[in-house]
Amino acid sequence: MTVDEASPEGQRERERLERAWDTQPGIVGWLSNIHHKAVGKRYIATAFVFFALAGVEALLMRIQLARPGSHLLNPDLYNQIFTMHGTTMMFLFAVPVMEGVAIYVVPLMIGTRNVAFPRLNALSYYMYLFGGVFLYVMFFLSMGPDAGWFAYVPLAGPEYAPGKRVDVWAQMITFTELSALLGAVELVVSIMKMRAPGMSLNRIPLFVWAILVDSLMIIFAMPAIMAASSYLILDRLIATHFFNPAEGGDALLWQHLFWFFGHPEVYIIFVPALGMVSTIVSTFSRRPIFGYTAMVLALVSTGFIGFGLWVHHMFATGLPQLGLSFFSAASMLIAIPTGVQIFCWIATLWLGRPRLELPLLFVMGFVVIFLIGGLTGVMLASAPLDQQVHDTFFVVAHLHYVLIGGALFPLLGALVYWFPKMSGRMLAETPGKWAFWLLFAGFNLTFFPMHQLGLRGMPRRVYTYPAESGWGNLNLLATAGGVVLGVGLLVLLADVAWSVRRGAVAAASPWGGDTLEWATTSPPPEYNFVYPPTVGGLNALWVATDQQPVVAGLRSDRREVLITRTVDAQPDHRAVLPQDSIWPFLTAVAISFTFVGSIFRAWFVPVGAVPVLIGLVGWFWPRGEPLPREEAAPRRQLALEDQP
Amino acid sequence: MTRPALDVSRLPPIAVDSRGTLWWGMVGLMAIEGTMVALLVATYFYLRLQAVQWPPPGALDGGLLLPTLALLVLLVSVVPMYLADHAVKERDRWGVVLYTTINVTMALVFMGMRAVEMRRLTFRWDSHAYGSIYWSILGLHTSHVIASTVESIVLVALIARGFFHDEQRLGLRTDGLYWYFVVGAWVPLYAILFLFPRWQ
Repeated sequence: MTVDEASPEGQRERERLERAWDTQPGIVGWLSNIHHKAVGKRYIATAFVFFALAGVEALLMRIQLARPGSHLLNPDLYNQIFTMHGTTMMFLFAVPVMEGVAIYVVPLMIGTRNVAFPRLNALSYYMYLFGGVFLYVMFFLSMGPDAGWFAYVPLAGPEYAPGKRVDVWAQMITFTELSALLGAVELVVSIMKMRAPGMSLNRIPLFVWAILVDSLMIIFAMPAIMAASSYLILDRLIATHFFNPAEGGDALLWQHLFWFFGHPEVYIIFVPALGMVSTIVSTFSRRPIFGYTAMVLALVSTGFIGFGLWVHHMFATGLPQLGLSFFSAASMLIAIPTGVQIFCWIATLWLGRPRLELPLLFVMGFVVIFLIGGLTGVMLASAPLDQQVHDTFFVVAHLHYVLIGGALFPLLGALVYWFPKMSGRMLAETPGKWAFWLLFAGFNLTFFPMHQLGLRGMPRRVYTYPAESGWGNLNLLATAGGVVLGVGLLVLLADVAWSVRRGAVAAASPWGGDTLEWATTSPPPEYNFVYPPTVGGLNALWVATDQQPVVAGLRSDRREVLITRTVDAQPDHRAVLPQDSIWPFLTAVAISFTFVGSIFRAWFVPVGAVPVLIGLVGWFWPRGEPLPREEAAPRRQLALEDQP
Repeated sequence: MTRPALDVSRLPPIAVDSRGTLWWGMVGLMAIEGTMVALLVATYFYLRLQAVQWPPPGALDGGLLLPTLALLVLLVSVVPMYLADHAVKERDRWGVVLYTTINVTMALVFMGMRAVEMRRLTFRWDSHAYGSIYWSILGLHTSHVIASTVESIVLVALIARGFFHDEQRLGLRTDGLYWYFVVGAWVPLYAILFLFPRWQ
């Protein structure tokens, strides 16, 4: 059997698919859209709105700290702003934006038409959106959290943080973690069961591997923060005693639970970035990645070791000597898989014919910045040095080098890389390069002086400092750098806004990449592929010939996808994905009503459960008609149909 | 461009077993919930390590008989769930309805026993840290029992109305899987709440 997209039959197939995968117009249609590309783009756009808000907060802090003795912000507002900055960047930007990119790219990369549970995907987005909006509404009502992004008890407990502020923080965690967990299950199942025929485990693109490891990390790390924030909110609202030493609780329990999530969280942000870097390095070196198996093993071992590090955030809490040594060793150990990957990237570039285009430029920026962050990380892994600079600007410098270097630069590189696929147009390169250099210079100007400030003893989270401290000039330098960084982001934003409308029209595969998203048009149709691809080797598109088969025979009058076996990705059965639906949105509204109400009155939980249940029943209401009474079990006939 | 095609039209249109994506999604949910249970257990023992006296005096007055009987009801309820699952495989609609109803009834009996058990407790969640973790474990598990039972009720009502397509069949099988999880999770939690403080 052969097929041809350009033939009349191919055209008819395309029209049928258009009908089956079409979305409804209007606001209800918009809210009912459950396509992974729409949800992914909404995730990314929403995340960047929160990124901008957190960036404004960062600039406010920098302006406040530019000179000693400044009174632009009062201490209370400053506390809220640094809490909002950290909370927004971690929970409303870094994790969701990585999931958003994954939701957009992964189904294309594995050659299928949507994620495994599209409605759950939409619910996950709305929970994230509502959680973020809730946080900011409360912030503007002067009920923004003010106990830092990790909300240590007893500062965040009922005794020292009365009012609703920390409740808002804890409930925002519930929103965003629920969203992240749903997204993670979604991605794991899609990657396990929906890969193109032939994409066996040893042929999965590195970005997809990274997302698989990342999603599994989310599944096992995020429940810890759910537990911790639930205990916190219970302590605050119904007077339980988890963190109250007077009644047998323990404040350090919070730190253990928080960092059991919080350290893997760093890798949850970083691992997708590793996948992005590998993808970009391979494409722009124009050769397969050096040491694919070593890269996969490095990703997987990062996923495991990431869970063994949490206590290194607690070196200053008086732990037993053996504990200190163990976690110190683990913290140094994790440098090994990262080192393996860096050497593999260098080897790939070395052996290839690199083209220094914009995505690769961002990757180069990543290597430089992340290397510095990694070096200060190795320094901090040593418990004595950590004791010395604990809670100073040295740690602020380190974490920004790791997170901005390790996640933001690869992310921006990846968004430039996939921009043509998402928008159908090329990003204008010259302003992009300007933006890159402004970001790179501005970043180092902002954060490098903070190392020195920390070594000189400037504590973090102080709203001002005396002139005699001698910290003024370095702070002024950092603030100037912050402004350059902000200008760089504005240039990039302007470039995106211009290119979306006026950029050169992009070909299907403008960079010559090897992964399957480049096998379809830019932007892809709603159903992604008229005939989904199959895979004949590790670098799918580079090894494919004209004779590489495509998948035919999926029904095109409904949303059908192919399910393949987990290990060898051989075709197993077909599955029908659901129609667009407003129910995920309504369910998200009902859940949000319950979550928000419950921080004011406990009875919102049982009362809110009713609309949530209605939402879920509406969601799962079966399509089609009930079977006629007498032939509920036409056993033989149906059983025959089920055979392949 | 003409290309060879891999024809998949003869593959089954759905897999009502562990190959289906819904089944995998349920496994993902169970991994999340299982981690949650493990964290509650860790919290329990962490608080135990800090405690001078564990449990606080008078905390065991609720007795062991009722919770043990409730555990037995829960364990036995796995049997009708298994039979319902078997009936799904046989496409025996009324078998599914019958066994699921028995399972739901047993779940309701269990919840009644749980309610009595809660009323008999001599301490509250705000009495001491022991009370906080005790009620949290009880509360988390009860909410899972309720959620799984409601899911079973909705499914059995749909199936009784004649919605017995492959989607509902797969739905019931994953619902059964989740029920096994809810029951299985209670075994260690029961041991920790009721046996450990008596024989530590």
